[in-house]
Amino acid sequence: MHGFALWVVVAGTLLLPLALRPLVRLGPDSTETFSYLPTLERTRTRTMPFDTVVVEQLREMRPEIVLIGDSMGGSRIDPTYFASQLGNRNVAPLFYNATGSAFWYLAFKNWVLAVTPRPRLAVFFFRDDQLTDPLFRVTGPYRATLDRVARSNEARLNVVLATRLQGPLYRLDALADEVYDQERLRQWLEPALVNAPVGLVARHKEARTLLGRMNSEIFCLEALRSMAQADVWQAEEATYDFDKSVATSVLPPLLALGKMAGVRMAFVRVQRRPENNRPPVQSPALQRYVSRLRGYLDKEGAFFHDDWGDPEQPLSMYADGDHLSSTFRHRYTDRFLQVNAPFFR
Amino acid sequence: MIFHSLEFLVFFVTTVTIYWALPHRWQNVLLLVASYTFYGWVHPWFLGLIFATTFIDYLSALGMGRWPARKKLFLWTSIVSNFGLLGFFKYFNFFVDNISAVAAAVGWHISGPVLSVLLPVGISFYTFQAMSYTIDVYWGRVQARRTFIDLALFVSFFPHLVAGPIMRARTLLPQVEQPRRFSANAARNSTVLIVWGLFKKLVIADNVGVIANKVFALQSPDFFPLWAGVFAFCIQIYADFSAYTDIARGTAKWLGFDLVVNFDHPYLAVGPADFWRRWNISLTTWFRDYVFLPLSYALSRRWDGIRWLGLDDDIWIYGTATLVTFLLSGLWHGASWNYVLWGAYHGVLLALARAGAATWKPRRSVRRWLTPFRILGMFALTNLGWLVFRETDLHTLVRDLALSPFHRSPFGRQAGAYLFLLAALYSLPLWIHSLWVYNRPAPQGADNGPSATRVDPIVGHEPTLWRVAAQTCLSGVLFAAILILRSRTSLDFIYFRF
Repeated sequence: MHGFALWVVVAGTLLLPLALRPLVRLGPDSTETFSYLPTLERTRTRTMPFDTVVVEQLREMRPEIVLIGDSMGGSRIDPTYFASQLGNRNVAPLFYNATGSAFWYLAFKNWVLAVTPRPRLAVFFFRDDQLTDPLFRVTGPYRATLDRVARSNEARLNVVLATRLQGPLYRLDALADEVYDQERLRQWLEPALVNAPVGLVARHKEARTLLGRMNSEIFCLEALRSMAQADVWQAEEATYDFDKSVATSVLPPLLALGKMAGVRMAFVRVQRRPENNRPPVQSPALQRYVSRLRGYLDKEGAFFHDDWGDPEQPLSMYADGDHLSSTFRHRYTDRFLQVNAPFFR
Repeated sequence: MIFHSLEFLVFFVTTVTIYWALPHRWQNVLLLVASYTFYGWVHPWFLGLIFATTFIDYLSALGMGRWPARKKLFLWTSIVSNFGLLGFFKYFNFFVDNISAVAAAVGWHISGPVLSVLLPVGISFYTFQAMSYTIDVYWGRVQARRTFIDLALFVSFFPHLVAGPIMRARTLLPQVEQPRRFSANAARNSTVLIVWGLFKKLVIADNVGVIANKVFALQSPDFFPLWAGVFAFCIQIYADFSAYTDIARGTAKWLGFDLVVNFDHPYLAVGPADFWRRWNISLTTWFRDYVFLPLSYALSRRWDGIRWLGLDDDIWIYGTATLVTFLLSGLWHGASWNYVLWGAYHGVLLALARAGAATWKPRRSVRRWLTPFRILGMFALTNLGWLVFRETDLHTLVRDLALSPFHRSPFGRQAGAYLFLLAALYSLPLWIHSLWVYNRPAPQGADNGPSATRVDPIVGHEPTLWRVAAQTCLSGVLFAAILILRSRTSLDFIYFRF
C-alpha cells in the first residue's frame, strides 16, 4: 500500500498539469506564429520583417571589410574616412544602436554571409564582456531589434540562449513545454494576474494607465539608486568568468562561421569612459577575463585589440557615457589604424 | 548547484537511485561524494574550505578524547580556526572598512586592503554546524568520532549544506552512522513537501521578490510604495527560506534522513519570544544553547540578587544575555551594520516583552480575545525589522523611517496599494496554509495556544485513501501552478548569501 501510494502521488503530480492543455483554449485566440527563439517565447509576432534591404545593399557594395557593433563603434569609426585611409577599400558599416552580441552574430550570419563574394575581414566593436553575454539586449524593450536580423529559425542562437538561461539540460525544459503547453497559457494568465489588483486601487479611467505611470514616474531610470562600488565588484566576480561564459555565448559559433566562410575576424574592445581623466578602473576579475579572452581569440586565429589604457583617448574625447564625441571620429579612426597598422596593411 | 535547476533534478534522481542499491558504508561514501559535487559545482575551491573546517574539527575532537587535560586547548583550536575562516571570508572587508572609518574620524587617513573574493556559499551554516560538534564533544554530550567520512558527511550533507537547517551532532550523526531503510511513506510525504517548497520559491518568493527589489532599488521611495515593498520582502524572505528548508527536508527524507523543522508559521506569532520559537528555529536554538544559556549562567553568578531601576536580577540577566545573543545573531547574517541593528532591534523587543510580561499578566479569556491583535501587532513589528534587515544603507534607512504617511500624493497611495495587493495575491497560498494549520486541533496533551505544534496537513502520515487523493491533487495543482506562474526572474535563495 505504501509503495503504491508513493507512485500515485508522483504520477499524479506529473499527470495532473496535463489538464492545462485544454485550458489554453479559454484564453484569447492566438494566431501567432512560432518564435524563432522559443527559449525566449513560444510564439512571436514580429514587429518588423527580416531586413532584406541590407542584404541587397551589401550585394551591390561587395565590401572587403564589414564593421559590426552598436553605437560604441558608430561613435568611434567614420567608415568613409576609414575606407579612404585604407586606399578606398569597400567598407560596410553595420552599426546598430542598442544591440548586443546576439544581434551581431545574426547580422554576420544572415546579412554578411548571405552575399558573395564574402568580405575578407569582419571587425566587431564591443565593451568588456559583451561577446560572451548573449543575453545583453535580447530581452525587454530590446527584444524587437532581433526581428530585423533573424530568419524564421535560429536554432543555434536558441541553443546558446537556452543553455545560458536553463543550463545544459535545457531540452528538458523545452520538453516540458511540449508536454504541458504551459507557455501559451502563461502568456495570457500572467498579465491577467498582474493586472488583477489594478481595478481595486484605481477607477476605470486611471486603471488603464496606472502600471504605465508607475513605470515611467516611480520606477524610471532616474529614480534608481546608484550601485555601490563594492556590490559591483562582488557581482563582477561571478559575471566575469570567461571560461564559464564562453561556452554559452555566441563567440564560438561566430568564430566557426568566420572560419567556414574564410572571413578573417577581428575584435576591438573599446575603452569605457575614463575616470578622473585616467583609464577606468578594472576589477581583478575583469582583468583576468580580458586576458583569457585575448588568449582564446589568439588560439582561434582571430585578431584582438584592446583600447583600454590608450593615453590618446582622454576624457575630453567622450560625449555621454562611453560614447565618443562625433568630432573625434577621425582622430579615433586614425589612431585605430595607426596602432593596428600591421594588421590592416 | 541549486535546488530549482534541472541539473539538481538529474543529480538527485541519479544519487537516490544508486544510493538505495548500496550497502550502508558505501551509501555514506556516495553521499559524501555527492555532497562535495553539489557544493563545488560552480566554485570547486569552496571544497578546500569545507574540507579544512571538517579536518580541523575532526582532529580537535579526537584530541579532546585522547588528552582530556588539554580539552580546552583543542576547543580553542577549533573555535579560532572556524571563526578565523568565517571571519576572513565574511567579515574581513567589514572590519577593515570600519577601522578605516574610525581612523578617518580621528584624522588618520589609512586605506586598508580590500579582499576581492566571493563569499563561500553557506559558510556560516556549516561552520556553526561543525562548531556545535566540537563544543558538544568538549561538554561531553557527544563522543568524538573516529570515522572521518561520517563526520565529513555530517558537515557537508548536501540537502541542508547551503542554507540549513543547522543540525546538531547528536541528532544527525547517529542517522549518518545507523543503517537506513527506504520508507515509501516518508518518500510520499516528502514529495509533496518538495513540490510545496518549489512552489513557495518559484511562484511566491521570486514573484514578490521582484516587487521588493524594485522598491529597494529606488533612491527615495514614497511612503506607501516603500511599505508595500517591505511587506513584499517580508513575504519573500519567509517563502524563500522556508522553501529551502522544505526542499532540504524533503530530499533528506528520500535518503532516509530526518532534518529538523525550521519554521512554524512565524507570521502567526503573538509576540517576540513566540516569533523566535517559530523563525529559523535551528539557528535560534543554536544561539540559545551555545551563547544565550552559557552567558546567562555566567551573568547569574555575577548579578545574583541585584535590583537596578526597580527591576529584578532575572530581568537584567535575561535582557543582557538576549541583547548580546541577538547582536551576534544579527552579525551572523551579514557583515553590515544594518544586520547588527536588526539583531539589536529584536533583542530589545524580547527584553521589553519580558519586562512587560512581568508587570502585566492578563486573564486567560482576555489573552484569547487579544490574540488576533497581538498577531497583527507582532506582524507589524516584524515588518519594521525587515526594513532594517533589507536596507543596507543606514542613511537611507533613517530617511525611510522618518517618512510620514500624511500628505502623500493619491498616485503614491494607489501605487503602494497596488504593490501591496499584488504581493498579497501571490502570498495567498502561504496565508491559507498557515491559517489551515493554525485552526487544526493541537495534538492531545499539547497547549492549545497558538504556538502548539500541529500536524501539517501538507505532510500527513499514514496513506489513507482520502489523504493520498488529497496529496495527489495538491501536489499536481502546485506543479501546474509552478509551470504557469513561476517568476521569469529567477532569484537566488536569500540565505545563500549568509
